[in-house]
Amino acid sequence: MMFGWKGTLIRVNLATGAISKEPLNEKLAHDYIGARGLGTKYYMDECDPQVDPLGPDNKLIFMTGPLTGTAAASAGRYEVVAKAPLTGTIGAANSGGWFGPEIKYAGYDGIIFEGVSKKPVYLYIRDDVVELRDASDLWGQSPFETTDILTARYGENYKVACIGVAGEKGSLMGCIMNDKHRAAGRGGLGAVMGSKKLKAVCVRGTGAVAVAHPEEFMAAAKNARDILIADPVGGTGLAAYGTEVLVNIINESGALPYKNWRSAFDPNADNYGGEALAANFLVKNKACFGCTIACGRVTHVTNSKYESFGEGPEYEAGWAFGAATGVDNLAAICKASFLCNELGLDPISMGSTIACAMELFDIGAIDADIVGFELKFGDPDAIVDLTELTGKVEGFGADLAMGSYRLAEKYGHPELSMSVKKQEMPAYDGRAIQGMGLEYATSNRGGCHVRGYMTSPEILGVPVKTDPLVTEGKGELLKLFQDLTALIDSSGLCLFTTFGCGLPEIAAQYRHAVGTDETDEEILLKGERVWNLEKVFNIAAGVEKDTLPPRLLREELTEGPAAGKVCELDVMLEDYYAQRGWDSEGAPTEEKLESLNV
Amino acid sequence: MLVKYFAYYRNDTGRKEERIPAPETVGALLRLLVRRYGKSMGEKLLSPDGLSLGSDAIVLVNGRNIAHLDMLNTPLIETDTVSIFPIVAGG
Amino acid sequence: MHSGKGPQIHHSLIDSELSTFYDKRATGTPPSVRNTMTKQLLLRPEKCTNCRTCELVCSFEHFGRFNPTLSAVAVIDFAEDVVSVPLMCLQCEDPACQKVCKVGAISVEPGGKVVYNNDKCILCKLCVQACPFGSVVYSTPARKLLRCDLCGDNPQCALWCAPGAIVYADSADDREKRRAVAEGFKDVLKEDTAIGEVA
Repeated sequence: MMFGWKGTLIRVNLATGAISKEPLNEKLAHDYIGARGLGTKYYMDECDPQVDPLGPDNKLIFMTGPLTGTAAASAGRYEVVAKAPLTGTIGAANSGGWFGPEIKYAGYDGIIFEGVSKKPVYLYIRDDVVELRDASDLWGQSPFETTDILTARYGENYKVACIGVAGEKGSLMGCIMNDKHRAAGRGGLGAVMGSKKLKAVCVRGTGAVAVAHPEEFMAAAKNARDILIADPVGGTGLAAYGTEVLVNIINESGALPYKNWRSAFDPNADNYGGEALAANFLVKNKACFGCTIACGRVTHVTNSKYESFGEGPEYEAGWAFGAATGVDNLAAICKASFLCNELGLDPISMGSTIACAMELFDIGAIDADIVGFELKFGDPDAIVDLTELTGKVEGFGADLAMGSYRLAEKYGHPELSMSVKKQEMPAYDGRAIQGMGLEYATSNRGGCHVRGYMTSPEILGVPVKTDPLVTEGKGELLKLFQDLTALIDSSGLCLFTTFGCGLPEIAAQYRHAVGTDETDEEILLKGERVWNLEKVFNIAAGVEKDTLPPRLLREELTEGPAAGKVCELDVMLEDYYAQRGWDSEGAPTEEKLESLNV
Repeated sequence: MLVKYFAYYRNDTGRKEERIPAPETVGALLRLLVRRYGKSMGEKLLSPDGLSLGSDAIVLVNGRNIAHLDMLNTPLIETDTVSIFPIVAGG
Repeated sequence: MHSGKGPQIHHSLIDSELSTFYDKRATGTPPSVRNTMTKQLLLRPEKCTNCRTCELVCSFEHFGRFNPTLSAVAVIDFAEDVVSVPLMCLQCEDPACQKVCKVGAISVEPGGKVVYNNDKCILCKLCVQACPFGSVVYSTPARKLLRCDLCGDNPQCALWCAPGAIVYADSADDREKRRAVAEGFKDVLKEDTAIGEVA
């Protein structure tokens, strides 16, 4: 019997309809943990890195971690892994909510989907019963509707992950939604699911997850939770204001990218920050499975033409539809963010791509004939209307649906795409927070903040205070953050637990769940192994080298504390590769891979 | 000088920002604010002995965290902007 | 213990490890210390974030595994209205479950705690039908009745509830709601005093 892990995977061939169950490879689980790491390892063992992401040979893997579904602090996460169509990198997107734990309770660690179905289907799981069922009536429905239909059909205890219209129609920013409001958001994995004609996974489990050392595990879980409850961020900060509270502090630090990153200070940021959200539209905060932090927002916009109800917006969405586009109308920002959930779109890529289109319009590269109207920075109607059009992949929305890089390239200005490896960067300017620039450049899934969240030490001073404007030491710190994050993502924990917990707390929960006597360092090494594995994939897939958009490397900021700064990427990259034990081109050396047993 | 408040410091002060004649240092400013706005603010802003920054507070002077300047000894002048936050996070 | 008496039901739905764990734990739990239950579970649904940690730790306490379907506490979520309510047996003083129990397996301690005697229980499940609150549930895989037993006067749901939606306290000592009301008075009176001072 395995502890933590359930020990069984489901394999579904969508082309033939064949469904089988197979034992989890224990050796791989030991080496790559679960979720992000184990999903990636299974993927790489079975798929050619050169595969067409939207073709029949790309596989789509849902994988939980050994802590998913336990009482460990905030342990409700699962990962979706496939080659990402937006970036061509390994795609790994994780999500919270309730769906991941339910897979475990049904008796499985994960599901591997292969091939393409001829007609729309969904996977039905009730404990031992696993069946593909006809989804013709669900095709075209929003994630909300899809979830409502399936739970009405089978019962309220069923958990649903599904795609929206954006994923069905192949938008490269299409995400996979679960529990209506949670998203495995980045890289366009919703389009992979859509390409397979797989609308949804609907699961109910009545089984249990067991841990190896019950008493020690519960002590470790309680300890981690108590630390989070006592932490100013994890305990009260996030609960009171949600992630949107970051808007003002990042802006005051001169690091909030404004109008497609032309500058990094938004004079109107306070109109849509966490304080404004809490004062105007917040109904209540809400938790994911087993989480003490409860960062989720339930928001109701009333007395506005943008009247809407939903969850969010989170900081990234608030920025993407706010500062990035120059819009400061909070109701419109909420509405656009909710539309992303309804259509199954990644709000970071969506808002950033609209911002890119606004700049293309501003310099005359596109006009009203192409867009359908005058596309001006700061227009609240534009973010709402274009999000809807993009989700439906209609009109100018079909251009936007391919992401900012392909949009900007089509109209002759690829340099105006604020993306790394074709994925839009999120809400922190790498010129004002140097370590974030390094993080974007080196992230194994393209522009991304949650592979190594350097904002934490550089702006918030957690767990150490390091100056955002200096480059020294950033490589070493980022490597540690990236490895630790890979460990957290792979174990099934939420990254937000790091606002209170460090390696000792995370390792203790893992150790007593699965029953190992490995040291903290040995457990962290698994994170480094995952990181190197992902890099190996990207090199084999021919992904472009680690760099940033020219704007961050050449255009100095003109105001705020980082005035006169560009992102000094070269010097940080050299240091970072050395810290990683990679060669000067950023490739893991043979010795490194051997020492990590990749 | 301009002093800006964020998150729950707005509840303590009842305002988003205000103009105050610049004291000599950040430390002097914070002690002045504690006197003006009371215990609830003081508990968060300064350590119990009043000699160092509270562990839950972030203070920026012209966008620079005082942790990377001269902490409470950071000098202030009339044209400065000071921004006061609790430690918050997002992502 | 069930394993030693009566006909055995051999069924693939039954997980014998669950009932074994439960029985061991039940025999290992001392009766409540002073027979004077002064504390009770107090529910504050307005604080509930629907994280359902209570369900997890309840199943773990009684069955040694994480499985929300084996929990005696259930959180009922009204997502549209953004309300979620944790519910469990709150120890009726005159319990319907006791009244319908034909074998005398259910009794009320002097302190008010409702106690199930597993040795007498024949799993007729009448108590499941009788409880007007739905707070007694029968688990097929465990072959047990799921009902709050206060975890030997240390309810795990309350211990782990971060937002404080479930609290284990003496309701006579619980002044939280009254305090909230009183604070309204305090603010009014303070204002009056302040005005008085100015005048």
